[in-house]
Amino acid sequence: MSGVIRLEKFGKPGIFVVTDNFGHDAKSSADDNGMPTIRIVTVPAQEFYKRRISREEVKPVAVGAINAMIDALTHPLTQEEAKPKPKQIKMSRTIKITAASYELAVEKFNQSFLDNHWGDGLPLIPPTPKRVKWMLTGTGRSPQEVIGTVAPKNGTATIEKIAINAVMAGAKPEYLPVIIAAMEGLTDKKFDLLHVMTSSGSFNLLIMVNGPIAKEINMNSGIGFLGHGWRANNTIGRAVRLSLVNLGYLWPAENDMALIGRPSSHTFNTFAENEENSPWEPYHVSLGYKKEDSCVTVSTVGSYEGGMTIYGGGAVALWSARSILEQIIKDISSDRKMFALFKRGVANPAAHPRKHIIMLHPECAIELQRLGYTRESLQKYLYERTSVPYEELSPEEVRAIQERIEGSVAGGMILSDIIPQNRITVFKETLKPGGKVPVVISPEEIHIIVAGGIPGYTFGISYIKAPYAPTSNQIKLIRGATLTKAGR
Amino acid sequence: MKKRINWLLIGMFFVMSLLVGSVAGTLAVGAEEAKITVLNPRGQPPSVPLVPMAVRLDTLDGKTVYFVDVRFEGGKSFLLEMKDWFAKNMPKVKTVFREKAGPYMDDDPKLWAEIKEKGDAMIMAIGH
Repeated sequence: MSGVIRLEKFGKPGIFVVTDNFGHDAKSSADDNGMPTIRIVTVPAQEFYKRRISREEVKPVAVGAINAMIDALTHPLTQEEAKPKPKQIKMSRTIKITAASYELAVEKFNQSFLDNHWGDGLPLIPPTPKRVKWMLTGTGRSPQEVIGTVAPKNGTATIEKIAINAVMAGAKPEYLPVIIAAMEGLTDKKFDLLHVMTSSGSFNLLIMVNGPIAKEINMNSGIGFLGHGWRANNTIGRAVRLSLVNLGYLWPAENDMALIGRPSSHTFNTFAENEENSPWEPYHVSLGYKKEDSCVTVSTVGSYEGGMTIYGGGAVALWSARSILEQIIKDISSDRKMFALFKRGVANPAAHPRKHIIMLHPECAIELQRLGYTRESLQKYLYERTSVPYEELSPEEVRAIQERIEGSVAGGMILSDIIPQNRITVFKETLKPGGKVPVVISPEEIHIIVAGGIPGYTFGISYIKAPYAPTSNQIKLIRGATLTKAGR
Repeated sequence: MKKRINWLLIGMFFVMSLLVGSVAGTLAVGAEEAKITVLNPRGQPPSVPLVPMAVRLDTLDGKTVYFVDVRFEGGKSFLLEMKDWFAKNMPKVKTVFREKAGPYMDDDPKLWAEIKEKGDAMIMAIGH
């Protein structure tokens, strides 16, 4: 899209072609790039996706679009196209809703917000000035403080705006510092929010809380930790969801192109690590924070592809920590995306290496610790055990790794395909007899978390390397809390 | 007598008007009596400076049209078929096929410079 706009600036007419189901998304992108009237030609999605497999198949779709192309390049500009009027987005601070009764007014508020795409499909709590003021008692930070901007439309996230969405979600003031920290992670420039929220890959978010605040606000980290029934878990996630909708101007099938939606789309996967039953230091401590700190980690994960894979545990079948480890190793090492031949610069999910989040249930973690593993040594062990002996790679796979290394050095690679500069030597050194080529970029890309109750399941959830920004994992300190001892 | 009856009727009419007005007023208040004021949850997006579009071509004959593959799967086949169609049906249109360098989200200043110098128009496909 931006290429077409660049050429239009040079005085050369251009057309951007998309399938019809992406037409709204393209228009939205045109708006964001300053050319709302750009000529977009659409082709039927129903035909293109099934026919693009070959030139012969796609020919009728291409030929079918010719007249529209010629027209778009030659039909004189309309007045609006020649002199577009700037769009003034007037934001009123308050919205008044009147009805014959309070109940009807609340119903009218809900319908209006949904019609405007300001809700999430579930009933909302009206964010009256009184309720927002109440919500803001949970933080000592200024309501006008700017946290960041929220992709894709880059709306400004202030503490007050987050509080408004937190009220709508049904959160309590003591949750607000957690919600703010989550939004700080998501709006960090290093975090790829754009991909997780708009990709057709239907990706999802993990929102994990560590530190003493989790217990203070009664977050669930035991049985059912990813489910319903805990106000803190559910409304913190929902507040984040509503903040992303309203501050990022996201809407399904318009610019949120998750083709099949996401499980837990209203609340994301929001939970607390089970620090009480973990044999190791909490996750945030392993990353350098103090035990008395409270933190939020936001991490992009798969929904369906890269969604949950159960490795063992549960109340029915027998399991052992060793058998679970073997399942994890088998699963991760079967993912040979690192060795997939890819076209440099072409997005191909089959060639993007993954980050893995292993959610160990407490019994399994305790057993692993008894076997001598620390969190760090477990990461290293899994990294090494999943690496593939050089001798077992086909010539095509060796070539693919070499191409990946060369491209990572030379440039022209999608971020998702790159081996970071500080890992190039490691990979180069494995490409010889006796070497073992990793399937994961580094041991740190295998995140170990203890969650769930007793009994519980150990499962994995993964995601490709982010394509638009360097990271898909961010941890932020919770601060400014006024109603809890933690997070101050 | 007649005068008294007239005054009585006028008086009754006046009282009736007051009564009807009062009821109507009550109904009007009752019809819209609840009001909720809420704060706007939307974030202020940045203002985007607008770019005017380029003038369209009067004809494609004699012009050079670049077909640029944005590098999603299927775009190349689509554009090459289109290029073939022009070669057969509108041979006076010169067509040039290019793959954009880098991934779909990256800029390609070299290509834009080439099209600026040598091309008259561009078709970019398929953005999805």
